[in-house]
Amino acid sequence: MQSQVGVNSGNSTAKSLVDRVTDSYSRIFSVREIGEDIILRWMTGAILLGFFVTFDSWKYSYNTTLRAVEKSAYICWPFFQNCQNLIWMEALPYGYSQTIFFMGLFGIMAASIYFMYEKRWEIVHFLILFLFSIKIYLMLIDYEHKGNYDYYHNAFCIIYLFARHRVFFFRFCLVFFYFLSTASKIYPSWVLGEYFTALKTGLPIFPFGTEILMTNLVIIMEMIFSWFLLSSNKFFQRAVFVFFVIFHLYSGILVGYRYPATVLPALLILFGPWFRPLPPPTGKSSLVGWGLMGLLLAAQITPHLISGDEKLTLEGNQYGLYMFEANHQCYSTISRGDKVLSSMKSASARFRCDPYFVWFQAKNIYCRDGEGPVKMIYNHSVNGRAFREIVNEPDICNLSYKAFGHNSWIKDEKTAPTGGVPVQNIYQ
Amino acid sequence: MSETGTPSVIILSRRVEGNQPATYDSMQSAVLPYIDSVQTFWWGVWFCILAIVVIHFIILPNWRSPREKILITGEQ
Repeated sequence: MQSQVGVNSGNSTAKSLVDRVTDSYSRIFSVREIGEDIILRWMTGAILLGFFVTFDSWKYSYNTTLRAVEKSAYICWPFFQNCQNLIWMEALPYGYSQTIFFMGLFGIMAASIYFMYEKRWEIVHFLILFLFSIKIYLMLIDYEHKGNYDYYHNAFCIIYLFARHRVFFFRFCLVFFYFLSTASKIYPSWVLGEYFTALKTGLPIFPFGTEILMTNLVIIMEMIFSWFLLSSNKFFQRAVFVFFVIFHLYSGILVGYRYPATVLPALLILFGPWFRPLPPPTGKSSLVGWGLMGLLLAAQITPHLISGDEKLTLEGNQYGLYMFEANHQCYSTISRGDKVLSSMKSASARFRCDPYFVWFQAKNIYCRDGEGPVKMIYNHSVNGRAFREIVNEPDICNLSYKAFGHNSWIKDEKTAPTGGVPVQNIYQ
Repeated sequence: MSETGTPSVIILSRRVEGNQPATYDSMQSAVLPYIDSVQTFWWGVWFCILAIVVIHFIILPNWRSPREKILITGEQ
């Protein structure tokens, strides 16, 4: 009898400890707010869908593997050029660890859905915190893991996990993203519609000759009218909402499912039938939300603070949103003496033609043997205009790359000599 | 450049063989001479909106139009 009492007492102590930890966690992250609001409960699903489409596209990534490190094929971010030290997985066909890892993430996503059903929002929150930490790690070890949809999804995750007044900041963030994206569109790509007239296929659905009208319509809608999504005027709010729903479905014709799968659910949940205008939050509880908006603004402004045309040099180009900012074509050679070591060319508008990629890989592959200088020539065309030789360096082994400033070895629109012109290219 | 001074045409992929260099249509040609001014205009609008957003949402968050007051607080 005495031992039974002892067991019961032990169980209740353990239970109260778990309850205390759970209560503290819920209080620290204001988890109750999520469980009480249908918009936030649905946003939980939208965020999990975002993880699903993200990890699904990353699960076989070669750049995040030991084999890529061995072959010097990995590409680190300019501000963290030693990322290879954090790479430890091996992907098929060389090993199973990366797919095992991603199936573990799949299991956590499935568990999150179960705990949503059970209304255990503190567990759901913790699992999403874990998934988000893993996503940040995977982004950090591969410079190619940085799609515009990742910026949307990451910002949604930060608001969901750490902010208060979540519904307001989710809404504000989505509108702010539309607005910020126009900072990369104030360029002939969109102001003149050059991006699409440089494409052989032009705009989807709309006839040739309408490119300039459509691209300027998008600028007007994203820069000015997107703010009406937050409006108390029902007519304007609904009209702009419908426009952006159609816009995301249309954009999917080019970009595929991942971008609309990340943004459209949030748009429908936040600005659809449940929309009611909310006052802007003030005070300490709003600091995380406003701080995040400040960071997004700073990231978007960064490339404009670096001298030279960022669409040509690509310096700082991808710290903020950069969707469809320019239609790129490029070709480059890496050589030693008369021997060409490697060459690259791309006629795909979607490939960003960042000279950093070629420099980073060539330096890792060819400069370690100490067999002599390695020459790099890089030609880049923007929006179908003449190619510019933005890099012509006799020895890249002695060069370094500044992550937040202009690199003198990359020439800009004033100093890079022009060459031939490309033909109209293709999107893929 | 070719010997005549006309830029040579560069084809980077078999997938774009047969394509011609991009040309401007009439509307683009009309706007092209003013492209710098147009871009400056858009930057002006961009910064004005950013200023309005900062004032409305951060500096004066409690200001409401009479219509908004009714919708948000129910005050008449």
